[in-house]
Amino acid sequence: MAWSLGGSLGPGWSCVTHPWQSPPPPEGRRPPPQLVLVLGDLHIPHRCSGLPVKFKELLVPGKIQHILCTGNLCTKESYDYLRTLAGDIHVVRGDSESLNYPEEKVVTVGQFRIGLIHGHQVIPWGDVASLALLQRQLDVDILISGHTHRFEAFEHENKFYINPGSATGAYSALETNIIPSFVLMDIQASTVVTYVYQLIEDDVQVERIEFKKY
Amino acid sequence: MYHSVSETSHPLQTEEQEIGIDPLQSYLNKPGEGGSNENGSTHHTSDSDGTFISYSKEWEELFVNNNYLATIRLKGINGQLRSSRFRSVCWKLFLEVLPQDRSQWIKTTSDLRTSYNKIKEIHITNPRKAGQQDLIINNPLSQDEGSLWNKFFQDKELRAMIEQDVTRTFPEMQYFQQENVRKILTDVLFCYARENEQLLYKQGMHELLAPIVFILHCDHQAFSHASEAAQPRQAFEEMKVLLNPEYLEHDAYAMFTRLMKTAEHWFSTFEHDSQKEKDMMITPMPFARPQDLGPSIAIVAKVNQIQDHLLKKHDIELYMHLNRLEIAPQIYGLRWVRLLFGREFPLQDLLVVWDALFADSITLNLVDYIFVAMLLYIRDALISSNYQTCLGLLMHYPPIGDVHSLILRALFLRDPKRNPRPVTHQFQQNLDYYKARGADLMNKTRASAKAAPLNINKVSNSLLNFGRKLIAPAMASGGAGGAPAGGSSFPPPAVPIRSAVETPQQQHHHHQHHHHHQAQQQRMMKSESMPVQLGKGQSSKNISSSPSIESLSGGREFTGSPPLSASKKDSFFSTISRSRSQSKTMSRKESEEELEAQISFLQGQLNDLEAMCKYCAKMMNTHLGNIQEVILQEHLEKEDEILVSLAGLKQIKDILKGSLRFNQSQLEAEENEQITIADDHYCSNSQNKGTGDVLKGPVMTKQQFISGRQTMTDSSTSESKSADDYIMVSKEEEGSRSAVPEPAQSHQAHKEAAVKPEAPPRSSLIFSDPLMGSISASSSNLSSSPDDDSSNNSKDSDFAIVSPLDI
Repeated sequence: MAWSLGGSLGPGWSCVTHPWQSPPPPEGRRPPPQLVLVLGDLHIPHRCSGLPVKFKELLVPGKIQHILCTGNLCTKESYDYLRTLAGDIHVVRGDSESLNYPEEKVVTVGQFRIGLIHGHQVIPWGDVASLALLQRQLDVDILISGHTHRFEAFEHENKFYINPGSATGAYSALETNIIPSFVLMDIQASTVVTYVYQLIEDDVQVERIEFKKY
Repeated sequence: MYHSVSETSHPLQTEEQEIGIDPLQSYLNKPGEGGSNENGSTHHTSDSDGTFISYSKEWEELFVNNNYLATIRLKGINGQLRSSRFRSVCWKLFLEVLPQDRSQWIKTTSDLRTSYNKIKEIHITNPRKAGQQDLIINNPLSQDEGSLWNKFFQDKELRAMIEQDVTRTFPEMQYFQQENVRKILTDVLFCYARENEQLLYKQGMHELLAPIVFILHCDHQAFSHASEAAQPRQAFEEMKVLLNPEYLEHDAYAMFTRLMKTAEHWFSTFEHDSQKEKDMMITPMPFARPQDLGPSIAIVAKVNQIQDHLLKKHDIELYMHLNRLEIAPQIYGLRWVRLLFGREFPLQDLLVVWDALFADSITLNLVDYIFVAMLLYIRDALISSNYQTCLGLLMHYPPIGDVHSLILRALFLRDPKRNPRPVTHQFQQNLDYYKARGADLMNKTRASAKAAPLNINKVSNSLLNFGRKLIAPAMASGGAGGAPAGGSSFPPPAVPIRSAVETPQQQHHHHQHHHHHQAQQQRMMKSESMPVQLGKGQSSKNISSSPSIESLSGGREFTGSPPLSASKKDSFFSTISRSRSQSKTMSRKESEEELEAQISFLQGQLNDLEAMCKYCAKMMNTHLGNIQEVILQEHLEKEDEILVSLAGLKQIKDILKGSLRFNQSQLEAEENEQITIADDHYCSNSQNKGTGDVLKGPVMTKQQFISGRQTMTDSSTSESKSADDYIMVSKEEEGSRSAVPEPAQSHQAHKEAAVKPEAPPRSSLIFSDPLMGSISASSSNLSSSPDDDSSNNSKDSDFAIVSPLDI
């Protein structure tokens, strides 16, 4: 056991806790909550200067395990910021992306296979049938896409589709009045509880949706 | 009695009961040890009935009698619970978790257990359970106070911190590597932290909890083993409830909380006297010890109090030594007290210590005395060590063979009247290991510790204070005057001097020719009679020190020995002086860390060498004395020559001991035939002589040399050796009174050498310190043998110090 001296008062014991390491199970048997942050379409600095202040207050490091980003961060600075929130971050390429990311990704969290794509590849944009096509192609339980800057979360043919919208409220090609939003998924065993955070008139509204993988 | 006779059909057949006994098992089934004895004869592991019989017998012995509490307390203090199988029950009684009334045991236990269950429910939360709460509040990212998720994340942090410590608990024991055990530890600590929000969790609590869990586990094992093949008995029910392994966590929690009620203020970092902060920042105490700076926290105050009062009372030398080395008690004491010595002893010994601690009192006040006893155990090693080795010793406490003796010592320290005085053991071992450990620690602390030079002035001043305090203040009251304190007998050691004498010390010794100062200094120095052994070739260093307050130490070249008996005290003093002169030197150069380490190392070496010289000197002294007696009785023809040689040998002895200065100039003296003596040298001497205590200017380094002659006076008076040979002697006395140093230094070399120091009288003035003069003044009395007193008195005040050991 290492006891180190330090300071005039005596031993200064260092307890370094890495906040973003996953904690051990609280009661030894239940797995810890896996929190996954889903967001995208930031368009910083081209269309927006930054995340809304209230969102930033909510997003503190240490709570979230994974981040899935639909793309269009646009700059490395945004990416670095996201990196500080969690250790495990996945980004896919958007249409105005400057950095090199893959077009699509599949991530497994808990029991769920999650597919990630920006969405400009899916034509028509945001069409359910086209998304379903992609889901079958990727063979995922949850498909996350973006690009429409509009929040969606629905179940279709027993699969879950999430569109986190734009976290900054950046305008899209078809719409200028965008509500900033992002999504937080709490994955336990075979249930996903989705919390949607929207900034409506300067107030954060939260909604909760549950999805079970039978 | 072994029943396996029929099975030993061939030699290769394995015997029963001999393979792979789980050490825990053997510990539990140790026959006959401790006060609670089983029937050794019937005890055999295969004899289950017998096991249970012995088991229940132990139970009965411990608990089924009137006044059982006193009995087990006594057993605990005497270390007889070492192999008891009901240790946890005893501890529960000591910690007042179980009430004294036996009939209440079961009820109390179940109460405590249910309360722990409730606590657990409250604190160990599942954030997903609450579905009814408002989403705004209870979403995972919420930082709202009411949010379960928020609480969950806060708990997570606390848990992680606890887990980190738990995984490091007793890494050498397999038992604590098990997941379920770790979980138990974590849960208990977590609940405690949540129940005591003001204290939360502090590092160290896990070490207090671990042994508790361990003994509970041991007792459960013993019980299950005993009950495996036993018939239910009367006391069985009670035992069954108390030692139910399912409730290990609950019992541990109860015991731990009770223990923490006493120990919690050791962990509290609450700072008292916060209003003093302002004052402290404005006027920090100058030359404060490192332990006195900084906010006052309960545990720090406690260890300081242990060191400053208890240790000082029982062993002032060690106390001074630790102070001088500026080893703040927090460095090692914090760990000792907070963990109740958990890391200082191996587990079994630790349990014995805790038996005694708990049995003694729930207030754990035996801790202080055990602390002191531990220090005393290694005191010899500490005193003869430098900073590095001391640190190593304290931080890696050497193993004690019999921990019970430590407890006895502690009890004795606390209450000498009622407890027997224990045999004093001392730790004797090669200290190199600890030196290396200390070096590691020092390197770690160097980064954060203050620079060494900061301590130099502290060292010098603390040294001064120390020196002052240590010597008798026979003349304390006469701080100002010039009455020769020469008449004062050699002061008894360790009597603190009053500050009257301190003031002259503070003044700069530029004004060395100031008689007033010198008188005081002399008196003080004399009274100090510091055996400060600056000698042995360090003159060069002293020469380099500039005349300033440092010159006091720099010039402290007198070589008297303390009147203290133990030789280690000599070395102790010499290390002080040595460190002073060294510290001066350090301040001259860069105070690089490497230099410091080197110096400490050298200091350690010097200590060793010095101890060796002292020993040699002592032995020589004895033998020379014998030879001398015999020779004198024999009345041989060529007595003179023999005595002359004896005198030479005595001189050598003095050099070894240090009362004679041996420096290079002495060697040179042999070559130097031509000695110049300044006339005024003598005159001034004769003038000053009358005043007695005035500093004799030309008090030279060689003067001790002369005094060395004097030491041989013990046999001398009868001899009528040519005192005239001794010009030196007559340096003071113009040759007349040199009745003394008869024993004949007719050695030409001696004479020359003795004369030589006259040569550079002025130049050496600077570093021939007033001490020498003063000491010589006093030492004249001291130096002479008892029968020579009168003659010596007349002689001289100027002779340098002579070892009182000769007397």
